[in-house]
Amino acid sequence: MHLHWAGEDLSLSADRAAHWPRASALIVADLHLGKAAAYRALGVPVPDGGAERDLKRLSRLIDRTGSNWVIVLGDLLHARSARSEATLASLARWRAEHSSLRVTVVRGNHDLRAGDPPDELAFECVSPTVDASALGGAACRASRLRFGHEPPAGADSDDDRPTLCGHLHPKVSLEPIDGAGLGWSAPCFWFSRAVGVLPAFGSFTGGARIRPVRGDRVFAIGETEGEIVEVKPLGARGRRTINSQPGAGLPDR
Amino acid sequence: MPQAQPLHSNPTLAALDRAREWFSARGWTPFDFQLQAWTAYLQGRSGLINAPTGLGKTLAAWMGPVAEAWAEHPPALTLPPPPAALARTPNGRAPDPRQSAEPLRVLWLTPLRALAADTLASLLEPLTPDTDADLNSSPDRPHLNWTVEMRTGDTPTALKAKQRDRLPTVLITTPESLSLLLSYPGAHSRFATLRTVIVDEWHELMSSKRGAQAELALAHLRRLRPALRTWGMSATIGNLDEAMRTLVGRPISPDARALAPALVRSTEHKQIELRTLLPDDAERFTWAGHLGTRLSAKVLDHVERSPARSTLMFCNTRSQAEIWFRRMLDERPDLLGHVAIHHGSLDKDLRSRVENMLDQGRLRCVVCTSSLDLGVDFRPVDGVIQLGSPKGIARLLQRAGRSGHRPGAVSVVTGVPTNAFELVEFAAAADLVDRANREGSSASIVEDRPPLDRPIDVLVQHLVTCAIGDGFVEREMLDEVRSTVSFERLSDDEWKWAIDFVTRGGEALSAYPRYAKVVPAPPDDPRAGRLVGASDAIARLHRLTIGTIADSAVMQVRYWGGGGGLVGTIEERFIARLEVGARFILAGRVLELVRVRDMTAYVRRATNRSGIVPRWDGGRMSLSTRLADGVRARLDEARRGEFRGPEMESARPLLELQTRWSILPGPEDLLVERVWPLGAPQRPPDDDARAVSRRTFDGGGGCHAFLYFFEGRLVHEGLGALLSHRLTRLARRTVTSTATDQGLSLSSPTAIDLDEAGWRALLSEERLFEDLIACMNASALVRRQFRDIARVAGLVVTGYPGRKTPARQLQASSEMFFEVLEEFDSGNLLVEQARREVLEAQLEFKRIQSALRRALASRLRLVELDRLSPLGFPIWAETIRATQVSSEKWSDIVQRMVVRLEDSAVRSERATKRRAGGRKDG
Repeated sequence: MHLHWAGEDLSLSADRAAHWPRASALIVADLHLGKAAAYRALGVPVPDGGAERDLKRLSRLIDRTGSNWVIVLGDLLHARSARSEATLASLARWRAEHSSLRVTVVRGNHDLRAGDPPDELAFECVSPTVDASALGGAACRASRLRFGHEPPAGADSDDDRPTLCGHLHPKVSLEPIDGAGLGWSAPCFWFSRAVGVLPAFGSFTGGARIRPVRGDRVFAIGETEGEIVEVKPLGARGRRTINSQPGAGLPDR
Repeated sequence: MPQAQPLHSNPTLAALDRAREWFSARGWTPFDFQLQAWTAYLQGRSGLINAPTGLGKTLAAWMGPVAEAWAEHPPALTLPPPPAALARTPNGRAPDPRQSAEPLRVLWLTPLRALAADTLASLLEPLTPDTDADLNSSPDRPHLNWTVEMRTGDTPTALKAKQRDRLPTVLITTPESLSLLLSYPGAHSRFATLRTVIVDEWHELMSSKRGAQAELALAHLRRLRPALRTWGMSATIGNLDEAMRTLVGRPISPDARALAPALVRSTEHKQIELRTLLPDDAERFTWAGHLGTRLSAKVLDHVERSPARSTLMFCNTRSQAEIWFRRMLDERPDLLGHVAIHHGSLDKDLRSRVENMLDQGRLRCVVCTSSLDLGVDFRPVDGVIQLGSPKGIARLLQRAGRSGHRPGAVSVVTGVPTNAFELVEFAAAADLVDRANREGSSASIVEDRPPLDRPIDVLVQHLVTCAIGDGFVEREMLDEVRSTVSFERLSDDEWKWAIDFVTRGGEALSAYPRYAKVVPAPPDDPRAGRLVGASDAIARLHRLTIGTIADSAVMQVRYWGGGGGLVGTIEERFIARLEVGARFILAGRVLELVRVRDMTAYVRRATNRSGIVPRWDGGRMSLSTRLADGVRARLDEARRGEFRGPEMESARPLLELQTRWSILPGPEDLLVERVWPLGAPQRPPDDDARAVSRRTFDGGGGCHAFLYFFEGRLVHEGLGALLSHRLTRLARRTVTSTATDQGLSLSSPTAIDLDEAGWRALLSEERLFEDLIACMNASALVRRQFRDIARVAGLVVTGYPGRKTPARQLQASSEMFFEVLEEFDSGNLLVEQARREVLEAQLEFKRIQSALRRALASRLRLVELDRLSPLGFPIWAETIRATQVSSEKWSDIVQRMVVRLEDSAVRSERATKRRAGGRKDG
């Protein structure tokens, strides 16, 4: 799915990543690696395998797009207890397969607690936000983009630089146009004029419902079919079909 | 019945004598069933007591243990000991009466967190020294130095800690709190003197997960105390024998010989009179909905003119209670202070205030839900209203029993239909009530309540509970678990899986590295040879899980600032969808959401008078098989032109309209109505129906098929999922199905074009099981079911409302677990359990099968309509519960969907809220 945003061409993938061809970069957010391990450490049985599979998915995306740079918009590791040998070993194996790859991690709230990945992985870690122009490379110098983890507050004023971020694990609630059938929710990309929010890349992450406003663009992802579709907006004062609020519409008297 | 003679050397007869004496000192004569219960108890047997409310069920169970103690004790010698009472804080230097009192003897298990005041009074009365000279106290009846204490989630922490050191003589507790007690080391000595467990309202507990939890805890107690006697009290249900078997369990070790348990039944039958309040203008009576506010003037009038001092108005859902309470006050502001609301989501202080006022006869009417079904026996109550169809006959009898307390008095219950079809349901209920009155017993008309079959989530929770307590020996524990009825069919493989789950996280071969919850005790540990908790942290976390069987995830609702008074609780999912500033109604008050933090929703009183009424889960009940049969019989009469009784006369215009527009199906017919196209915007029959339909009437294109099986909502939901699934296999399309107690609808944006042969193929019994499995996986049914399972099994740790989530990094949704388990641990029995529960409990496989058989044997009556028929309308109005199956490409469906936008002004406020405590999970 192609998107022209903030003067850049981006390609949004149903694998929950954005490709930035001009910089040959793959942008992902919220991997939460080792989350299952952190749960197990606290006595909650979550089977292993998610982290390994997420990294394989990342590798496939890198190969497919030919990217030589991966930008992680925060929450690479889930928690300090997520730094288990198994998780770090998977990460090291993945690194070994992509030894020449440039990896930039914008530290997220989880990374601050979990700590930076080990130095030998040679990930470049920055926080809390970073301008693309500060990251070097010809493509970046000419870009207005900025990378962060949490969406900046009050980002709608004019002098704000367009920021790509994560953190929200956005999901969009959809409802049928004609009222025939049910609505449901799907992970999504959410772009307003100055902020672009990526879906969480990690598979054991959950999500939070977003509430877009007029002018926003939302791209919903089919979780099993690997499809991505731009969602049609229905204005705040548009015709109501099914009332999505439980109990709403009941008469007060 | 042994004929008692005074002063026996036989301890049983001596004890019986004392119980009789105590009764006769009060001028009472024991009922036969009371004597039977005492005798059986004193013989060392367990048993189940079944008697109508108000006949002394409590004393039937209670006097056995008390009289036994009277007979054991030497007569009082010197000073009378201090009165036994509920433990109070010892004042100053007074010695703690808890320490000198007799150790634990009786465990009183109740489903309610607060014991009804009259039950407590019954328990305390024989323990209190007779001061009244008229009651010529007997020297043979010594004073018992017993303490009676409660232990529930509401008990102060300080008292709980004391209780862990030393339990009172009589402990009143809930299944959750009993499990919690087992989760602390030292159970062996703590329960060393326990003789009896008495379970109140066993019929209510038995067929729930809390019941299975109680069964396991009781089995554990029986291992600690092999001679333990288990007694229960139950209202009349269809399967009393099974209820008793479930209560007493089987002997744990095969060589232990237990005395046969006693089923003690009172022969009293309370006559019941069901009167239905009828709409004046039956022609215009609402076709759909379950609010019933159309009849509010009549109901108010009825309450006011009723000779009853106090009336209980039973609603089927908490939302309905809130709506009615508001409605009453809106129409009659002068009733403020004379009417009150009572339901399970309100703060317990508020509830007990209402209960006290009711007990004192100070309330004219209480709008309530099943929260007042149980345990309560308010003398001043002599009016009972059932708002909306009772859906099951046992429930109706239970509620009717709240009036007419005196033995021999007639219980009168007034039914209020909330839509026209409920008139037919009340007519069917009246038939059953007549039959019970004729037979002098309700035994043949009430429904069964089966115990659960192997709820694995409850089992794994119990295993961890016992592990973090004293630990357990695997083999012994298996015997114990299999001694319960819920788990008697547990296979070796299932047991192995449950043990693997708590020790390894999953089956040996699946990937759960570094996981440990339950581990073998180290060899130098006194508990060596047992499985024990892995760490204190895990024990603490687990104790938070134990309480979660009762409710789905709820949040406390508190006032913001100024002490933060508690209003009640509300489902987390409802709050999660509200914005800051949104208004909703709870406890009859309009509240405005201020913020959400730590599982607590802070609110302030709203100045605006309107707000939305929350919908709580589990509100909608399905028509029971017995009532459904009754409805079919009544409809058949109507088809033949026979309208028997005022209810049917009142429903006549609706049924005749149905006959005119479509047909009224007979017992040999299956009516299939196809409405396509829906045509011009249709005027809803009236405003009430429009309000509840939650859907405007200008849209809703597509093709709708309505099938009327009259089997109850649960069966129709299952059939709807099945038929939708089969339709999507015939062609690429999306089918939405909705169900009510009468039938189901199948809607599709494209035509559903089936001739009779096509419909018959769709209804085929062939590959039924496989198709049901397939459609369950395709729909959200299993995921929805998994939500509770994940909580009970300790996967999702929500913590208690009002308490900080124990580990914030543990926040996860059951949805995430479902996905990861399906993918990486396909043999997980919890996922399997969710499927089984949907198949058996929700889809009711056997009932679906017989419904299909019946459908295939009937004459198919295909009717084409250009508008909704009176029978179809209520189904169409019920979209909120719809389920959907699709064989279309995902992106094609999304093309037909929209996202609702909001004004940008609210966004900045939302950003603030998100930082303040927005939650991130699915």
